[in-house]
Amino acid sequence: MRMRNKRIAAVLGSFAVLCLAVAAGGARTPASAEDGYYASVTATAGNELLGQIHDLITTTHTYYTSYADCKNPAYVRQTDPGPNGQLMEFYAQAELSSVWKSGAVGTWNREHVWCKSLSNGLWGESGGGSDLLHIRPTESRLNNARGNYKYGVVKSGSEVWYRDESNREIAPGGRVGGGVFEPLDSVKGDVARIVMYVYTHYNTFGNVYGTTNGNGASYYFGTLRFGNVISASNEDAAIALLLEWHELDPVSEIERGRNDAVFGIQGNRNPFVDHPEYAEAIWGETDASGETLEAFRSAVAQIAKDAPLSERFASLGKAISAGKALSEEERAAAEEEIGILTAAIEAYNEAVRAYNAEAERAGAGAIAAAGGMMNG
Amino acid sequence: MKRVFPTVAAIFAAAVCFAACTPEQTGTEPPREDPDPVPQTDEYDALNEMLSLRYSAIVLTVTDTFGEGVYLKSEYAFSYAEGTKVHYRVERFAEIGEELLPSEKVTLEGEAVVQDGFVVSVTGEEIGFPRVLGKGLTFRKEYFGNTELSGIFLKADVKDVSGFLGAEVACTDMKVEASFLEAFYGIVITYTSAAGSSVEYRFDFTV
Repeated sequence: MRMRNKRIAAVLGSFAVLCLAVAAGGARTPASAEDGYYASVTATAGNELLGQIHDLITTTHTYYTSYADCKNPAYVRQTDPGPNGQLMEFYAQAELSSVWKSGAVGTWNREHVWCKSLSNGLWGESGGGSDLLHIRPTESRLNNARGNYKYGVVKSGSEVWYRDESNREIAPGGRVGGGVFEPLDSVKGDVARIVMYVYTHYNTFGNVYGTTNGNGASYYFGTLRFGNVISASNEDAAIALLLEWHELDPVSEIERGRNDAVFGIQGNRNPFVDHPEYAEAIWGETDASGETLEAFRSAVAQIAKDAPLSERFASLGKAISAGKALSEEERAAAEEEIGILTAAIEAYNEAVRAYNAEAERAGAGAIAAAGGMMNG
Repeated sequence: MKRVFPTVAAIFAAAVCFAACTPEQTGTEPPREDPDPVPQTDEYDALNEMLSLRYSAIVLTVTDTFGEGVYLKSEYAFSYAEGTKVHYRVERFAEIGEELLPSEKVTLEGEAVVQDGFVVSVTGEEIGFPRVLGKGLTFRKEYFGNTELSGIFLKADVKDVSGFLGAEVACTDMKVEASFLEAFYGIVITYTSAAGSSVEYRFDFTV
């Protein structure tokens, strides 16, 4: 009887956890990036792409998790499962106990990848400060070692370690030095994509060319700069470092699984995990369809010097070859020129085919005229 | 009666013979598909005989001019060792393709072997070389107008293109100039094509 009661209690307990998850997040079936989530994103580059992504991830962010949700075992086991049923620590990428002990040494606590003190006052422990796509479980000593240092390249410093409750070194978790924290190479991309997500989500309209903040409270949003959290000489250098880390450490299965899990809780996704190419398209020099732009550059370089439209193409070609990112107006003009160029090429090729056909007829006549001589 | 029959028979036979040898006085004569050849002058016979001489080399250059500085030039070189071989270099304009190459010409090159009026093999790049050759040039007085003919040159307007060339060519204003003595030195044929381009066939002969 006692055993039967325990079994019933276990079932009821599991059911309660499930109900809690449903009530909290309106449980969604974790979806892949191919399930149409990005259907509204039609732009391919620049601020237009940034704005469309901002609108998407804010409007689909239907449940803003609380800071307490971030240590909810039910959520954490979904978002950061370890290989042996425990938790996957973020900086060391090693497993640690999932038991919450209020951040005691050797146990896990909640890490703000984009530190509270570097958020320009936008978050503490709500809004962006409790977003599951932002907050990560880290070993508390490792968390403390990072402190509120900006991310960057440590030129001279020391290694920091994940230590267990007995203070034994378990796995390295990065380097600190000169007021900078440098994550492991295998974590740099994770950090970059979280930073890009936070920047895209929580920037205000003035900085991001979006049109809505969804249901988020207005005080969740404000002005953010990459230089707030990345150690670099200026904003461009900060972006360059993020893009470098993003490419150095590609999206992992852990990240993809986490994205699906959080989608099922909050309703939104990290677009830089699903579409890594968005990063370069927004902040790099080429757009998402880099091949198309490269082909157009070749067309301008090769054809413009021969075509009667050369003057128009040359000026546009110079702008592109200088590595200048195209604005909406410039892109529209470029697309129009591509259309004109394509028509000019086809007209030229039609003339070529006509010329060659005429030459072939003349050659056939000449060969016929030489017929008798060939039989000589 | 015996004397009358032979006389009637003779008269009938004579009438039959007369009818067979003289044209009908009424109706039209059926057209002849192969009219009897008009007797040639000695000069045109001599030119046709010069065409059949065995030259050590003949080069045919075809230039097709479309506008200012825009032209295509093709060469056909005939040699007669071990049959007749025609080495050709033919120019064509290049289309702008996926690689976006600048506009320029391409040259197609190859060699054809001719036996008994048939092209029996072609090696190299295909140019649509005709497999069955025509009879070639034929000089006849009635093919020309405004003719200037001497013992060393011929200059004339070509009135019968297919007869002279041995092939149908859509063109206007065809002219011929030929220089010769005991053999041809050169023949130049020019015309305006139906598309408006200026075409020149230049035959250079080496004895």
